[in-house]
Amino acid sequence: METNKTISIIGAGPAGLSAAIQLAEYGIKSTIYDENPKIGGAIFKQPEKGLKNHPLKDETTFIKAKKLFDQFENHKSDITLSMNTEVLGVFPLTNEIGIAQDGVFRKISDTSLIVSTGCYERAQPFPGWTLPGIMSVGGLQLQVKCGTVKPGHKAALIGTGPLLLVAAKQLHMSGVDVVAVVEAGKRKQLVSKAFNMIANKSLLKEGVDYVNYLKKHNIPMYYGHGVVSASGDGQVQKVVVAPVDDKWYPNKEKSFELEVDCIGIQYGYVPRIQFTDLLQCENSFDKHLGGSFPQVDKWQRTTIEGVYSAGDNSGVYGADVAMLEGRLAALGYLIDTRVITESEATQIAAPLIKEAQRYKKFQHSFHDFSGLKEGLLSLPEEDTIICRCENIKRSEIDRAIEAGVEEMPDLKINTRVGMGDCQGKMCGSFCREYLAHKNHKKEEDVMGLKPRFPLAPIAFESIVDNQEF
Amino acid sequence: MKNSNKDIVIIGGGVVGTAIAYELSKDKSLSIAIVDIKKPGNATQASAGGLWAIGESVGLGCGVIFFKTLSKQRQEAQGGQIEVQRPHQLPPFFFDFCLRSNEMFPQLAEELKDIGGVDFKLEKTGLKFMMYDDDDKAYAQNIYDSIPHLKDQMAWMDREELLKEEPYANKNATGALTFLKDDQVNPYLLMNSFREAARVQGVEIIHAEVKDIVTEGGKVVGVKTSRGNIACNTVINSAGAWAKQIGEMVDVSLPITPVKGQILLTEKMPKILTSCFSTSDCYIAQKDNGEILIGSTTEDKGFDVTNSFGQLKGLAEGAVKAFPILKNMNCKRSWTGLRPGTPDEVPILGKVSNVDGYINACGHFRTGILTSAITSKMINDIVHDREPELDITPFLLNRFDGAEVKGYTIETV
Repeated sequence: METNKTISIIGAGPAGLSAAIQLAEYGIKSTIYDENPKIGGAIFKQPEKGLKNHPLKDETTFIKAKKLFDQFENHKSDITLSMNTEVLGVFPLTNEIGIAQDGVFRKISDTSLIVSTGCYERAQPFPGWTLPGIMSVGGLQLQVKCGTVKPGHKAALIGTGPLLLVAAKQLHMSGVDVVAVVEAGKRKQLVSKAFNMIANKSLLKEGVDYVNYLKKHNIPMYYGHGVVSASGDGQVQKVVVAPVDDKWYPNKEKSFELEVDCIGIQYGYVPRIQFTDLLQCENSFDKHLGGSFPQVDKWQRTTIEGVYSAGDNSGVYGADVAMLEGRLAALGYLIDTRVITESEATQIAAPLIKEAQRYKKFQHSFHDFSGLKEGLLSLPEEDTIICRCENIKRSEIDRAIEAGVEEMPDLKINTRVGMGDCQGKMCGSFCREYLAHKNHKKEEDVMGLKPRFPLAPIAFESIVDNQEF
Repeated sequence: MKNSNKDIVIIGGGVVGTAIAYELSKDKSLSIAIVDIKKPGNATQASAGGLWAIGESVGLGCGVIFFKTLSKQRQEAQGGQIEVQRPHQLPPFFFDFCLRSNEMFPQLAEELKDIGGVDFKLEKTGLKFMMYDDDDKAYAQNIYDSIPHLKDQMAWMDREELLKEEPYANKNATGALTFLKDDQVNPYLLMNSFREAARVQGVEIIHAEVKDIVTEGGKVVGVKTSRGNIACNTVINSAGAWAKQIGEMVDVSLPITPVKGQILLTEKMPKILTSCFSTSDCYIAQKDNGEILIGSTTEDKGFDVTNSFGQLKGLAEGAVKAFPILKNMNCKRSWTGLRPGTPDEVPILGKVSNVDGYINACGHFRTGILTSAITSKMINDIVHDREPELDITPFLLNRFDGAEVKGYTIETV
């Protein structure tokens, strides 16, 4: 590999920043591209008006973020930031990447890539899910983290996984009345794995602290319950929840209503792999880690030379693992460009890998408890919208399946699912699971959607008036 | 899938294969299967959906970029001297083939909606060739003069008339030549409507890769697929850009090569185009859902289906020139299709001499959507040993006999 190549990092979240810091520690300059105005990604989103008077300034996530930002500050001279920059696509024949900074198109070429695009939340359709006031838990969190708007007065957090607890605490600290945390996982399953969680005492303590916070503030927590439907007049007012069986099918006879004006929903994450797909990286599959994501070796190398993948986009393990993977990817690049030897890198990596293993082991202990189950696929009714961009109802998807559709590209052509602006980021995961379930296939055997240039819409103006294009 | 028995196996479930399946399924005594596998670049799914019978026959629509490339070459060779070009026209039998097919669509729309429940959104738009200068005018005049028998399907428009009908068109355009009956459909829905109607009439759709066509004593006896074997006595090759590989299974050598076309799509917009357009740069068609499709390049890149900057930019510039309003609109997506190209741009239809029970229905190049209807009728006649309503001779594979056959090639500038 040529050493005069540049290194570009896509995404300024935990993985991307850690990679840049690791490179800078060896005097290697890098450029980070990110669509947001500030560094931090979704998890370490920075408040608009700074941390100083923010209600969450002492909360764990913010403490971790601050530590990373401080490291970044120390190496700032080696790291170029290109913020407000969207990566639009890859043109393999000319080996170029198209980006748009503040809407202006540019090409980058002759660069190695560390892709750290993170993940987004898997959308879970159910009757009423498109009502205003219903958001992803991450969406709710962003609002309180930014500190600009309060998402509502009476919130319920529904779904599965630790983010529900984190969000409940953050919302409560920001002055929102949290009426319930509804967790689909069963408590007995959590307890049965408690031993494994000792693998990471700090995370275990973090978790216990969150649970205790809820108890202390009388926030009801329902294990083994899930969402059924939501209703309201122009805005969510009520949500129906019910106990679920082992496969998460709701027992509607035992359902009950909660009065709310906002709901955070969180049933899983999806690695953001559109960019590595366009780069033609090969994927592997693990539903517990979000589905399909690029296959990597121990230095986070993908199957395409000069392309590394780190963070939640290469399997969702969260910010702690993402930061370690970012460093590993950087070490991989340093080996490949002969800045350090593999044995040097192995020494540096050893404690990182060990730490990552502890986090991973801890997370694996949640897989039975929190792993998505097929009952979720039963939630949308026939007339429930599945694809929000194109207004496609479940009945239209059913009809396509009845007509023999088995792969996502065919479902797209047949129903327009995934043809909207989001290119299926929203509904793609649910639809692939649904196709697999209905056709009695494994999800990994169902061909996913193929991303297309541009990954985000771009004005014709910046194509035609642009010498770069 | 277990091994099964059919009378007819159709290989390839694009618009041509599904159209044939539908037509054949009217005969209730036949058992029919379509064997299809999703491949990147499937031309039906990449198509614009233009029913541009005259337009495509005279080299507009998809043909314009091909023509432009040629003109540029010649222009450079002659030191900037512009020669009045003879449009790249196809032979008269091809006009008849296209026109006859186009006539079938209004009735087909009702028929398919009744049987399968899918509306393929036939829109009476017409196709306008927008002219910017004397060269364009000379080009259009040449088209007009060369098809005197179709004068009633064409109309000239000056600038004022053009802008009155199409207020968003380039104010400096000098006018347009309209092809009054060149309309459009939604290509995906057209395929769906054929497929659904075929299914209702008993056609089985099998998602599998064809591994081999089995013959005994020069006669087709079955098809091997990745999901089992199907015994049959007739195989129809409608495998689009992949037809050559299917033909090879029975030693039928088809001069069909993939011809790459890139397409751009806008976000959904209010209706700003009342008709479809071709300029000397690209074609532009606003579909029933408001998106505007801008196509398409003509490239010889094998089975590559990636997009490239330069080509997309060329399309975008052509579209913005024709409709300056697009400059402020967003481009939502781009993609690539692989046309099944033949050396003379004419499909390859009908039986072959060396294999009994094998029928070609391939090589539809850039007119598969438009000519799917007539193709299905002609293939149906062949299956039933009837004389097709149009002479099959110029479409037969043996037209290439003796000639040194090359794939369709594009000279690059």
